[in-house]
Amino acid sequence: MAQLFTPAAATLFRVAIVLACLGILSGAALAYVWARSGSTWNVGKPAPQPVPFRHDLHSGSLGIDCRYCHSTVEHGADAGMPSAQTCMTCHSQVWVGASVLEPIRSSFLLGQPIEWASVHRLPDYAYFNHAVHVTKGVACETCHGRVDRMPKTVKTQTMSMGWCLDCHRDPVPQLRPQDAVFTMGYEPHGKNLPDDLREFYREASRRLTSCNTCHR
Amino acid sequence: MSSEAIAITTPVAEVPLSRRFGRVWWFALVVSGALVLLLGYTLVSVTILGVGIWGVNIPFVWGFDLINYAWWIGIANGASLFAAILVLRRHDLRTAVNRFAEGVAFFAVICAGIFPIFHLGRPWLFYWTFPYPATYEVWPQFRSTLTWDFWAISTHAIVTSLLWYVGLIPDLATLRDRARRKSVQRIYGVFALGWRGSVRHWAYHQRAYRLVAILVLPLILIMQSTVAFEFAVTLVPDWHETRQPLHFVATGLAQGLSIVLLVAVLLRSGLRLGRYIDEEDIDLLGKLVLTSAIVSGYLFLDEVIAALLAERMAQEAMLNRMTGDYAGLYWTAIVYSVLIPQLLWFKAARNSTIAGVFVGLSIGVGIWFDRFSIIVGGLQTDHLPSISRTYQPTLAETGLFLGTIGLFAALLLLFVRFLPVVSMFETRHDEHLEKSS
Amino acid sequence: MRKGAHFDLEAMKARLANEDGPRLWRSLEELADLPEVRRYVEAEFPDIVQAATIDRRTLLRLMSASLALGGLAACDGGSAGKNAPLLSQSHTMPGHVPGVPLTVATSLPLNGFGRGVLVKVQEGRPIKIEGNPLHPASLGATDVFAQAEILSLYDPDRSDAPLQNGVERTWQELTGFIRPVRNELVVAEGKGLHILMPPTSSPTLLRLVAQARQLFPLARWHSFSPIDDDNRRAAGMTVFGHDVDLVYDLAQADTIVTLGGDLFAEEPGHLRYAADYQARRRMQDLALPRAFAVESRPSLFGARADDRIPLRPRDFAAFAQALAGALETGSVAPSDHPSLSRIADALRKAGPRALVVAGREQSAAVHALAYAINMRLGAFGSTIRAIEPVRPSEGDVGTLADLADAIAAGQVSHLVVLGGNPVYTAPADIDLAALIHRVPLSLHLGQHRDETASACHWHIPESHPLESWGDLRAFDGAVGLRQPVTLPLKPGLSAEEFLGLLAGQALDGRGLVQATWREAWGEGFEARWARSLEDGVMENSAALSLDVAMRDDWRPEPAAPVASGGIDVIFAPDPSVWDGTFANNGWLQELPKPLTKQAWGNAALIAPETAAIFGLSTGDTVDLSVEGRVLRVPVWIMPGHAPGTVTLTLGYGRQRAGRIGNDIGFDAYAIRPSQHSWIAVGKIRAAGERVALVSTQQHHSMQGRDIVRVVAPGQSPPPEKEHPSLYPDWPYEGHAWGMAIDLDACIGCNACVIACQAENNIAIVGPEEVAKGREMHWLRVDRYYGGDPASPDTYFQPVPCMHCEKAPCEVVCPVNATVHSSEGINDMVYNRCVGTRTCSNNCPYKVRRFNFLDYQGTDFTASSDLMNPQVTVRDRGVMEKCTYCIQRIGTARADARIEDRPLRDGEVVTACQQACPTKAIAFGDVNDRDSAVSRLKQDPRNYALLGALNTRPRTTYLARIEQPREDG
Repeated sequence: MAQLFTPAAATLFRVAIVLACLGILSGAALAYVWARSGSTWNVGKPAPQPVPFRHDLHSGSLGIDCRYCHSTVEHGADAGMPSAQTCMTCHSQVWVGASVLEPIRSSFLLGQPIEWASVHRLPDYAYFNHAVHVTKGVACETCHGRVDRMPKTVKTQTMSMGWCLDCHRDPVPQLRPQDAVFTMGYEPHGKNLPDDLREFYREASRRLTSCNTCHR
Repeated sequence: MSSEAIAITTPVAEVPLSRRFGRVWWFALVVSGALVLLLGYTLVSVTILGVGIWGVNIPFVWGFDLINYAWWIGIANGASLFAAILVLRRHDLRTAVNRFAEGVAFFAVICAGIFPIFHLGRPWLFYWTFPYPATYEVWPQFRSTLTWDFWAISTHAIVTSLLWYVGLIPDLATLRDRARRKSVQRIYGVFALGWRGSVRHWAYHQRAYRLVAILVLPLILIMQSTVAFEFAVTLVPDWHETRQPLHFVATGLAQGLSIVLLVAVLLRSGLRLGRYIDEEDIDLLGKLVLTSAIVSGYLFLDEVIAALLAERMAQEAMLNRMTGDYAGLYWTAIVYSVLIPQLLWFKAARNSTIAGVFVGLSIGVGIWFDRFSIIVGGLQTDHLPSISRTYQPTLAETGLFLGTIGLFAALLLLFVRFLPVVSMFETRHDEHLEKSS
Repeated sequence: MRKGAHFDLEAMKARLANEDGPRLWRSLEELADLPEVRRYVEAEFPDIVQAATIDRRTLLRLMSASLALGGLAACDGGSAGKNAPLLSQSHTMPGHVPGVPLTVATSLPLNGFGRGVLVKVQEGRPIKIEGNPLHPASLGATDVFAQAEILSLYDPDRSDAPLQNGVERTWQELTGFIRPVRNELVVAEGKGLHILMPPTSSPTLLRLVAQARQLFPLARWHSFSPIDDDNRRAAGMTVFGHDVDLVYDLAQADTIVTLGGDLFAEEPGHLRYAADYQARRRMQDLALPRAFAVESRPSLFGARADDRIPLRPRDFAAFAQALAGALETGSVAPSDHPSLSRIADALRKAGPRALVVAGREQSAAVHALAYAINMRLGAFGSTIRAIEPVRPSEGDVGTLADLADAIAAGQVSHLVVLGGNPVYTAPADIDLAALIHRVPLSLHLGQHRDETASACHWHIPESHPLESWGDLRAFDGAVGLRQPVTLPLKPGLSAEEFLGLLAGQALDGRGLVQATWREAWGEGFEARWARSLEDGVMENSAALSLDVAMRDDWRPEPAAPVASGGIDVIFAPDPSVWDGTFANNGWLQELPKPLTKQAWGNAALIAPETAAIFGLSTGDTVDLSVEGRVLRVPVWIMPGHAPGTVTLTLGYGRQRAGRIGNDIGFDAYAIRPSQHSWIAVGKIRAAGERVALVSTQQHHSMQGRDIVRVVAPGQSPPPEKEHPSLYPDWPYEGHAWGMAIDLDACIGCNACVIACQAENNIAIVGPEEVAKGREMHWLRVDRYYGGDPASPDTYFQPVPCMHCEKAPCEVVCPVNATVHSSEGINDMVYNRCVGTRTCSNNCPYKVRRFNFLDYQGTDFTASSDLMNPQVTVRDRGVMEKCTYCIQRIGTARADARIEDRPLRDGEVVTACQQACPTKAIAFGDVNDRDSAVSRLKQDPRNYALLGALNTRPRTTYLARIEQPREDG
């Protein structure tokens, strides 16, 4: 009786099977890469802000200390956002009439808070404490990058849980002496540390990787 | 292929190939289809609202979900184990029952697979039990029986489907050749994987078929044991028993056989396949079911003895299952899965369709009550009296259960409609042997 | 109200500048009530004000923001969504670190008495109440009512606008209406004006009352509280010829005999009494005190007493007389109660170190006899002292009955109901609602639009005690100031402010209170005021003891002929809702009552033998008739209850409590007679219906397992034998947290349960879910009975997560959602949990709780504003359980690390531990051998619950001590 399939059919079938397998594998590989790519974590993506604030001018060119604006970074979980009053200390003198500073002036006058878009927001169930990190030699730069070179504030790290764990498993290489915590472009990490600190972290990694360190 | 060989299997092949099919079949399909819709509804609602719509609570965190899961797994295992043994032993019975035994196993696995996923508080995250390199760098807990279960059930699904499909290939080819319409030919053709019945094909096929069958044997033990471990490893007094795996495997076998018997007698009378599923086949099947029922009986006895030998809490727990709020379940289980099957001592019973259906069902029901008694009755006795409560299944749970039965029936009906329910090539093979002898 | 002064934002900011802590709140509260501030805000943010009609908090937040305090109210960690903005405040707040809560000391009223508390205020939102260690009525502990007050503060059903005959009015309309009326009354010298208010201890209120009396000399004042001490005071008058309050010192008492009542739950000093009693039990050098509880209804004190004697209420007078007689003559008549001689001997042995206390519900005769016995034993001055009444009734104060008569006689033209809810709480024979309708003008000040509000012409929202200024005296007279801890969540007046306005003062709560104390202190006001505010209690303000002598003409009145037949009916305050005040509080409604473990409702408690006589089982209804009024109630079989007696708890069956409290249980006031308001005689008849009662514990016996261990003094339970384990031991370099619970100290008061709920954002699930067995309490108090059901031993056992060393839950979780921390805590990671619930299966203590449904989105769900931002709010389908207050450990650890010092012992205090009045719970580092918890764990009484399972729990128990009965 007449052939149901062309002679090529068998070959076609085999090829299809092979392709399907390859497809599955490459799909998995793709997912793996995508999940880790910066863009997935909004790295380098600026957010629309009420005021075109430039870290590169304030922190970079003018060399204002991080703590001048983020005043509670050494005392509390929150680094703290500068109040309009803080801005006005200078901007009542410089750029007095600038229209871009209108939100700050009205906030100062009417007393409403300014709403900045957060670019580093962690999920609700992750509890992060700035003070502990900063006072233990984790520099601003380590997580926030060279803000002194940022015209627009952006993420430089994925801030995925894996990224946190990398450091919590072995903090020492990421640490700096206390006096270098607020400096930008400090090199090299993990050097000139007091020995007791190294000792401490040799034992602390189990505690630092316990779930309750960040999740409550 | 000799002309009479073709003639032999024509009626079997005619079933899937015939254009029209009985009203009864349509009616059955509609009914089971409706139940499938119910299944969908219950699954959607539980996913949206949460397992709170079931009767579960603390301490009864598991109810119908695990009961039905264990039950379906039992059927699947019993059936596939049975089929695999037949294949390996080249037993005459295989010609008659292999195909749908395999089918029953496969469909039961599908039904079972629904529960472990949808009984989760957050079902959409079930894949977290699968080890993959996530960016949060947390891995599954390999000491957990639930993780083992994930592997067990997926393996089980793959192997049973393979066993079924591999067995089907030559017959799909036959259907391809007998089909009248091009379209039908093509469909069967694709799945026949270009089977031409050459000697090499046959040789490969036999090897593959037996290989898969061999795979089934350890798998069954593993699967059932895993389910049993989920209970045995806990500190719940009544569950904390090393005998659990044995209990689940053996009673599961009885359950699988009973469903095979049920389906066999139904097909036999329903599709007039008396020639292929003959008196002897049914008789033999009946004897097997009887034996397995006696084995279950032994295990129920063993359960009591084990409890007597165990520490006080376990004794109290067992006593509570036999006399407490849920005593009804326990005794029903014994009556249905051990006592009623004793009917099969009589040849008349073994040969009558009614009896076959009745016994088949009763064991299925009996084992279901046994699982109910173990899971709910067992959970009632705990170490601190203060937390003892009761469990009442809700409509949502019952609906889910009926839904899976509907799904099972629907799959079986479609199988009967579109595929040869009796292994044609095996039949030919047998008849051939008879001729030559 | 007040003249609309011109609004000057700068001036206001100036006022706020360089203020912080409590004083800041004061000023804020002050400003918040300025109408012009509201006007300003409304003008400033019109769009939001529309929304604010639905959610007024937004408005208040904006207001606080506009007062340079936005930071305190705006960004909140816990409930903030993913894209919550970063907020820059308009002005810098010196010393304020975002996320770090303030603690404000204040006082909370219960029945007119004050309990000192500390309120934790997170970003402007009060989120937790703790006891004030400096306050004599608290000593750092709290009761369930104090803990739950924070939820009442956020109660969405609190009244937020004046009502005229049920129609909402603006404050302007109200003042517009009131002012002329007041002026007329001033002219008429208050003729026809009647004022009804609950008894109060507040010096400021009393001062304002006095002022108002001068302004309205012809006005009549009435005092009413459903939980009254009339019998006790009447006895004081007859025995001493002087109205006194009594303060007990249980630390001094060798023998304590209570005649009814509940020293640990219903006395104004109950927290202190429980603490003192336990402190005494802990004194190693002194023998254990011997406590006898002669009572009709089981009480917390009775549960803890060495000897409980169930007695029918009608037999108390005779019993007390016999006891007095036995102490006089030293002989006991054979006809007397069998245990009488035992008690008499113990009392005689203790002499002046004995104490006899009669419960509030007892007749004046019984109280008088109790006084006489104490007097004879010389207990006055040692275990008991008399002080001037803490809630004095200045001048002639009428009763509710007097008011009813006056209205009936048509003498009342103006009625002012100043707080309370008398229409609901009035005795059955006074139909106050109907009477009020006959008054030409009636006005009600109250927090809710309750039964009384709907009966009166005008209703004025009363501000919550945490929103307003005031002062309260504790049970011993010590004064605590009451200061607002938040901006008003709803606009309202305090009773002080209202009386102030009536007396022609400015609307200035703070000013009124300050005026009182300026008067009292004279010079040096500012310093003392500031200190008192900070401490929450004024130093040495406790009342001085009076030396009272018995009137020599006093003779015990001859025992009235004991009524025969009928059943005794006791009315009692409810352990969950008190007199009904807390009916709309979900935490308290869902709280299992200490002894019955009943939640969401009340029941008529009867003894097993009584039940047998009428063939009743728990849940059967009976028709209970008292003085011709019939009430259908479900019964609850209560082991240890006196036979032939029914106990009805008050406060349920409310119709206008709010969305939570309406139509729960039955209203015992409906048959409460004004003549016998505590103990009446009634008839009972089975009604044949059944009611499903909600309870969290079905089995009450330990079934012979050693769950709660009991030892004789000095003894210790058999030591655990070490079981081997296949799992390797965990290394602990740093801390290893552990808990020890002293079952000898636990009085089952439930404070820990509510404290845990408040601290850990635990959901309210509602009656249906509780009935299904899905309550979410992380910490439960199991209650077991042992011995003779007629008078059983009652055992309490708080059960939190045991944080097992070999935790069964950890090995069965497929996704590693519950794991062992490096400090031995059994972590529960909500965001990893998929909800297989197998961990609960494997937990022999069943302390894990599961979110079967979305419990954060129900009618019962509490406002997200009181959520603790340090604790994740759990989603549906997630398992949760006690974490040892991991957030408190984390915060303490972080502080220590920042200050670069080790954690000190006692620095981490769990919520349950902090609330406990008897310090039954100890928590700390078990690696540190000298820590408080380690020392307890070294005590021979220490044992592990279900130790045989070898779970090696971190939470262990100390066996309860019971001294053998001295049968004499």
